[in-house]
Formats: sequence, structure tokens, C-alpha cells
Amino acid sequence: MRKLAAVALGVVTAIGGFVDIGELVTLPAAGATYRFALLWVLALSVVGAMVYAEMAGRIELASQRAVFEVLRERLGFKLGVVPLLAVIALNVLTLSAEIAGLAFVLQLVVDVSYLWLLIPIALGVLMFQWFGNWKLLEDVPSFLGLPLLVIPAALVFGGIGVDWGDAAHQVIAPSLPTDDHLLYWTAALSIVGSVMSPYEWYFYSSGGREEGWSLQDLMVNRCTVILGWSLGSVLAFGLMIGSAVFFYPLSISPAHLSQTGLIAIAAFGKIGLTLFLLGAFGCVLGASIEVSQSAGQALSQFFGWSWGASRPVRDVPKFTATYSLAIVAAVIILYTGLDPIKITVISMIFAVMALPFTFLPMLLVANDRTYMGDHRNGAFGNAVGVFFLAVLVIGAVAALPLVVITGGGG
Amino acid sequence: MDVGRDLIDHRIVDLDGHDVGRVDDVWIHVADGAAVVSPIVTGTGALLRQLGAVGDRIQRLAPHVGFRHADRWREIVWDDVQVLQRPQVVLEPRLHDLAGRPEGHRPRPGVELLYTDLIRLPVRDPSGRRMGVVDVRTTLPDPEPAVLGFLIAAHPLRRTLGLKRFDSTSQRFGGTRHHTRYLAWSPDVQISDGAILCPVPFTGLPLHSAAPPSAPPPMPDQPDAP
Repeated sequence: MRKLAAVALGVVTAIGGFVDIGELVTLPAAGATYRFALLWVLALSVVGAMVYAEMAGRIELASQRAVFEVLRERLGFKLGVVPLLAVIALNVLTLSAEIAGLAFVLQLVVDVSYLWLLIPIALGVLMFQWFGNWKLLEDVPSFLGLPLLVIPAALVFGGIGVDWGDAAHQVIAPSLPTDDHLLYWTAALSIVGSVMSPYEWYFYSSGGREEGWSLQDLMVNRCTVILGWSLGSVLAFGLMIGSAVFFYPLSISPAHLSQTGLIAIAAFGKIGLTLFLLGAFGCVLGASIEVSQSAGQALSQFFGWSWGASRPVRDVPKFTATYSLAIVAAVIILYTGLDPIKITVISMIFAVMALPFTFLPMLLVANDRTYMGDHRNGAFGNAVGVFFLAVLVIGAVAALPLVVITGGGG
Repeated sequence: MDVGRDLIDHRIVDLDGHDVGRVDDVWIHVADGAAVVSPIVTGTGALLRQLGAVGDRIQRLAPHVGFRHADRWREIVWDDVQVLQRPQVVLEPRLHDLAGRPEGHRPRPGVELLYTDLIRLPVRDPSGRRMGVVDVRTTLPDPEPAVLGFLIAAHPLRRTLGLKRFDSTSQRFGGTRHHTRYLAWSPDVQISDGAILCPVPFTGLPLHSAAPPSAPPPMPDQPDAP
């Protein structure tokens, strides 16, 4: 019964925590520009995210090491410090995007420029982490994010005509665009980066330690990932398909969250908008916390500092200082005047560049008998893991030239 | 155990599970024909020296930004370790706070070098052929780990894709290769002139598969784990 409850809670939090500002920006834009032609990338990314999330959880359970502990042990300090710095920089960039996303949502409610909202929001996110504990940080934003299900609900029940057959067909046999290939592949990479955000694994595997998982929780880990990620991806598919149906025929690319909210308004009116805004706020708040926490977790695990969201701030001073400084740095970046949407897209693409550095040590450790015992990867897990590693290596190599040539995706 | 796999970079915790640091390096001490691993080294100074010129520069700059410990590390002798487990080194209760410990290394008679320096040394046989160290195989600490031998391969860095070490228990992803050899420690093996001198031709050394098995430290609460 305890395991069932744990799975249920894990699934709910995975659904509510699946979407962040990266998905809220990149998926509607991709749907509006390429209709269903990038659904296959989304489907592939969700499967990849699930494979590596399950692996990260299993490594934590079997070896009692979180991802960055594994990374330090397997790569050593000298080599490991490279992905560490890359991930910290990426997290700060992503955090900028998340905090800006929270400001955009609140801006729609209070009608004040988002720039005025950045500092109060950053302080709120900081205080929540200082005074909250792990369960609060994980559960509250995830439950707040559930109303975002209004988007897929609008597509199914809202009388919006969706050609589901064509959408399903495009997942299997996509029609690639005849021109602008570079922009298409840049959009594809940003989808991969938004769905397979590195911080999600760090946060997820660190959560195993926070919640005191043991080997008995292997099934909970597997069920949470498979059910939670699958159902959470319904939100992501809803955003892309809704945008494809709504904006593609009008040749409009949603440049603001409020435009994406039109999908909910069209189906459910004002209630739809309220649910959309609440859900978007919850999802982005959850992501802000996850990104900042994962910056602290990564650095603490790498250097062997005490860490933990449920521990008093005075017991984990370096961990607290790290995520606090990450939030401060993110706000400073936003006040430099950089376009938050551009920051979001670029951070998603840079996420792709950081992923192989995380995946390779995870894959190696998941095959290491001394770490994993009987819970090593099987042939299927390795085949899928190697496939996604190869895809991401190609993506990582292509990412920088694509960003430069297309100016960050146009 | 294999030092690179089972000790280096692992967590150091106190009895309550609070993180104290990481094993940033260990000394290898050779005297009277025996080689042991002791003491454990942890601290910023031990990390920065691994970065070479970049680390030197950081050490010089650090005091100017208020960080005065960039060139220091702390050493933990095995008497101060309560238990060595697979993911961590658990310290005696009195050592939960390393901040008050004396710092600095006290030189001992014999040959002393840090693990991170040792694995960079070439291994040469009498004909002058050269191999590299993959890892150092030792006994479990009793009270300190004694060196049993070295896993050596022709191009360890290239074969590990730049990773710190092989998985010396398997030949799957990142695992040891068939041609990795085992150089057993004996008083005839010398560490001098910037090299490890192997007394017999490499072709006379046993393959890794014929080496004494590595006995990794136990997992906490999992005594029957492989």
C-alpha cells in the first residue's frame, strides 16, 4: 500500500513537473511553424528522457550515488569539472528563463511590466527554498501545475477539430519541410533540450537520497518514470498539437504565453484561461526550484559538501549559498536586457550540448558490476541508452554551428 | 580493491551521514619493500594541483579574493576511518569536523608519491617498452591497504576515452580490455627516475583476467551484494 501511494504521488508530481518554460516556449512555436512535423522529435525525446530518468533513479538506488557523485567518481576531478562548469552555467541560464517565465505569467494577472516583478519573484523562490522542505518543494508546484492539463483537455473535449490520425501518422512518418532545413533542425534540437533538460535527472536522482529510497523502491522508480513521464508528456503533446491546430493555419507563431492560453480560452472561456495561467505558474515555479536546487546539488555532490532541501540552512551553508547565488545571477542576466525568449531557446540548445557529458558516465556506471550488482543495464536498456547517446552526440556537435548560423533559431 | 575505482573521488562522511568532503587523493608509501596506501588526502590544494598550470594560477589568485586555503589539504590516516564502504569513507565520530585538524604532510622515509602522480608515470620493462597504469590494486584496509599490484595497459588514456579509469570488474562498456596486464607488486618493482620499472618483459606478465580478484569494499546494509 505504501508503494502504491508512493507511485501515485510520484506520478502526479511527474505530470505536474513535466513542463517548464522551455517547453512552454519551444513546443507551441514548433507546432505553429511546422504543424505536426516535429511531433516525432517530441516523442523520441520523451522516450529518451524516460530511459535516462529510470537509469538515474536505478543508479541512485543500487549504488547509493546521485548523478553528480557518479560523474565525479567516474570522470575524476580533472575531467569532471568541465561538465560541472557547463551544467552550472546552463542552470543559471535556464533559471533566468524560468524566472522570466514566472514574471510573464504574473504580468498577465497584475498588468505590470515583467521587469518590476523579477526581484519579488526571485525573493519568493529563494524564501520558499530557505524555509520549505523537500516534500513542499516537490509537491506544491507539481500540484499547482496540474491545471495545465486544460490544454490537452481543450483538444479532446473543447470542440477544437484535431486531425488525430494525421498527428499520429506524423509521429511515425513525418513530412520534413522542403526548405529552411537549418531552422527545422534547430527547432528539433531545442525540443530535445527542453524535454531532456539535464537538471531533471540531477534533481530526480537527488530526490532518491532526499526521500531515503532503498533497493526495495526499484519498482516505484520504474513505475514513476514510465507512468509519470508518459502522462506528463500529454501536456507537452497538447501544447504542440494545440498550437499546430490553432496557429499554423493562421501563420502565427505565439510569441507570448498569453497567446498559447488562447487554446484554453477557445474551449473553456475564462475558466480555461485561469486554469492555464495557474498551471503555467505551477509548472514554471516547480522548474525554477528544480533548476536552482540542482545547481546546489551538483556542486555539493561534486565537492562533497553537505546538501539537502529538508535540512536547516545553517547545516548546509555551501549548498544554500550555491542555489541562492544562482538565483541572483539569473536575475542579473535578465536585467542586462537580453530577450528572455532568446535566452530560453539558446539554453535549450546548449542543454543538448551538455547532455552527452551526463549520459556517458551514467551509461558506464549503469553497466558497472561493482556499482550496480544485479541491477546492471540489460541488453535492451543498453541498446536504447547507446542509441540516445549517439543521437545526442550528433546533436551536441551540430548545436553550436546551428545556433550561430540561424542566430539562435531565428 | 582498486584505488581509482573504490577510493579516489568517493564521499567522506561522518557517522551521521553528513558530508565531510571527498577523497581527492591518497599517498602511496613505499618502504622496506612494501607499498601501502596512506593517508587519505582531501582539500582544495589537492584538487587544484590536478589542474596543472590552471590550478597554480587559481592558487595564486585565490588569496586576493579572500580564499586563503587554496593551497592546503588535510590528511586522514586509516586509524581515523571507522569503516570503508563502497560509496563512502566513514570517519570516526571525533572527526566529523575536519576544520580543526592539523594540516600539511609530514614526510616519511622511503618513496612517497600521490596516486594522481603515480598513475601518470610510464611503466617500462627491461627492453624499454612502455605501458601506462590503469589502476592500483590493493587489499582492503587492515589497518591500511597494502598494494598488491598494478593494472597496466598500452594506452590507458586513449582506451578509457579520457575517463579516470576502467571498470576493472568487467569487459562491458568502459571495462577492462583483454590485453590489460597485471604487474604484481614485489620489491623488484621500482618506482624511480619518473617511471615504474617492471623487472620482467611485459609479455611475461599475466593478463588481467589471471590477476588476483579485486575485492571492493562492502555496500552499506547490503552484505550479500556482489
